[in-house]
Amino acid sequence: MSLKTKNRIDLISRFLILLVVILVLALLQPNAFLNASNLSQVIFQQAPFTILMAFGMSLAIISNGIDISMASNMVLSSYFSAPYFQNGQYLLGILVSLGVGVGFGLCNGILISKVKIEPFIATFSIDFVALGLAYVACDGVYIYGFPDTFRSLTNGSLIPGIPNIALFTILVFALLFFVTKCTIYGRALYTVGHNRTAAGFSGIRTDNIILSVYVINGLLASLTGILYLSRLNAADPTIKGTLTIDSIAAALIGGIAFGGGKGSVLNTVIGALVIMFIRNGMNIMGVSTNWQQAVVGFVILFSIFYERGLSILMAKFAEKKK
Amino acid sequence: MKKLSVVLAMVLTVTAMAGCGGKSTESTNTDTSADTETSEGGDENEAASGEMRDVVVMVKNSTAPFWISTMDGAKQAGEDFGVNVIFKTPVDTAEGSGNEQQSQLCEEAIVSGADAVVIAPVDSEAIVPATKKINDAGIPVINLNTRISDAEQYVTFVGLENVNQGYDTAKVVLEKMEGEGTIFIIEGSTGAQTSIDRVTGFEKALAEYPNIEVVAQQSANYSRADAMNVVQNLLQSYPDVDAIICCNDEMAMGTAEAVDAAGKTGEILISGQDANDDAVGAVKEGKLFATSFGNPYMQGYTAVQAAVDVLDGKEVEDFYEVKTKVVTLENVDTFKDE
Repeated sequence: MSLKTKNRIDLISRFLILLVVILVLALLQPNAFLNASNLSQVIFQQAPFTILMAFGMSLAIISNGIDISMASNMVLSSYFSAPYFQNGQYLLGILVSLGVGVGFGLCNGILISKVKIEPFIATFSIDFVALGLAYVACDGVYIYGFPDTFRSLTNGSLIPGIPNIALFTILVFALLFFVTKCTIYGRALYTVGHNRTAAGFSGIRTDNIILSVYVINGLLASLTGILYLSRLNAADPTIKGTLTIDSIAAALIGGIAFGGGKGSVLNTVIGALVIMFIRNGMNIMGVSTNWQQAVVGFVILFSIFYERGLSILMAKFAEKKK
Repeated sequence: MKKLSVVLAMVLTVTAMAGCGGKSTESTNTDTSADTETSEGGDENEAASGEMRDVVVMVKNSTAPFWISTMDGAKQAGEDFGVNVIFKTPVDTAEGSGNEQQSQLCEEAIVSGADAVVIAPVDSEAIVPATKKINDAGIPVINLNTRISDAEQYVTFVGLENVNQGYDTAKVVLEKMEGEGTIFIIEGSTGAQTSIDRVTGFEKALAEYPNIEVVAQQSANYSRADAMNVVQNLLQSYPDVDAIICCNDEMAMGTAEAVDAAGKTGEILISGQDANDDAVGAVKEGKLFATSFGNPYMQGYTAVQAAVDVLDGKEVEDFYEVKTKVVTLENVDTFKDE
């Protein structure tokens, strides 16, 4: 069986997990869960943040790394840029946000690719630095209340029926999908993730590829931060919440293998939606938030066994064919 | 290379921790050699005054506006009463690890020779072994804000009654509803004593209004973003809810945004707790119906005052109550002066 068919089967099977989750929730809560307003709220308003962050996590994992620092980077970049957005200085706000986001992304990238620090340790430290700085900058004062123009970034709709926040996410998805699947850069990314030494021997500048991944993550963190400001109408360091854990979970449930070099951003979207639907469904059913945590954990475990089972099945199938 | 990376990670972590300490310049550098009053120099302040007494103040975190204000109050009291106020705060704000870090900080406080320890425990049960050690070392414990479950552990308690605060706030909301309708309760992090107490207060008030029904009760981890999602989800099942009572202001503000997104601002009464600046602003705008002023500054101030009373050998009461006040549109401009 070719790698391509294998990946395709894996993707379809992940999609099945999502369908099962939706189906179960629809059966349990036919009225409140399965209606257009709830579904569109989850997909178009709540999931985009987890999806955008999980994109970054997935790229890092595909390159055989991990990025723990994205959520804190997001908090910090949003915090520094918030005053400018509040005053309607949008260009300046975007520049500051990008400066912080990409700056920290670059730090991560250099630490990992040039100084050769383990990705987990490098981004873990940067996570502390970024969040710490955000708390220092915040000093207990939440920036609150943004102009309507700025808020329409998330709650407005350029295309009727699709909030702008969803539009952004779709655009980012399309761009990342194209870059990872249809360009030489994308091919190099997967090769580096699969086997860095071999990639180096085949003439890929592995350091630069890895550096670029973390810079892209910085960009994504900065974008997510701006969108979060617009959604919450406030800059508040507690928004970091469970985003780091959720984005790792989204990647895992979506089928991005931790060994690197496998999975696509489409897997990520599916994984993120699974998590968001579980949280939404359990809220609607009135199940305690602690159970959500446990259930997400079970789903991660399940998806790992699922992957094992699937690959054993596929190997058997391939043997029979011979 | 591995060694280098570990060292780098440690340096970065320490930097981050120092950053979190924020205002407290002496948060970690307490003199370990000083066993009692006479310190062997090192700290200029201490050397100059000879026998400045050290009061360690341990709050739950140094990031929430509430605790920053508490520390401001404690610092002022330190200046007024001539004691050295040393802040020790856990870096991690999560409940579980927060307690673990506080327990470690308690040990640090003993080693550094503190004369009194003021503590606002993250977890009022799990802190007991640590406070026991402080007591065993002969250092008086002043309990701030959240009661330690074992009353043997502290000399006196300084704070407000979270139960009363919850009761007062809920009562104002339920009165406004004229005793009819449905509400959501949005809890803080599970296991957090403040959340448990405030909810107890809510329930006490609810008992007086049998025709008001709690249709949903969920935790949003004291977080704005979580509350926004949770309330959006809950509104799907109960779009006609009349009021949403939250255990703190960040969650109330997230709730206000969710309600706003649903186009129901003004139709649903929302209440928070703590009277943060942005929440007070939202009360003025009519986005929030009520919040409650816990006077964190006075809590910090009174705690250090109580510590000084204890150290001076004065007879102390077992409860220094700091009064709370419900803030609504009526008193939003004046509640701090009253």
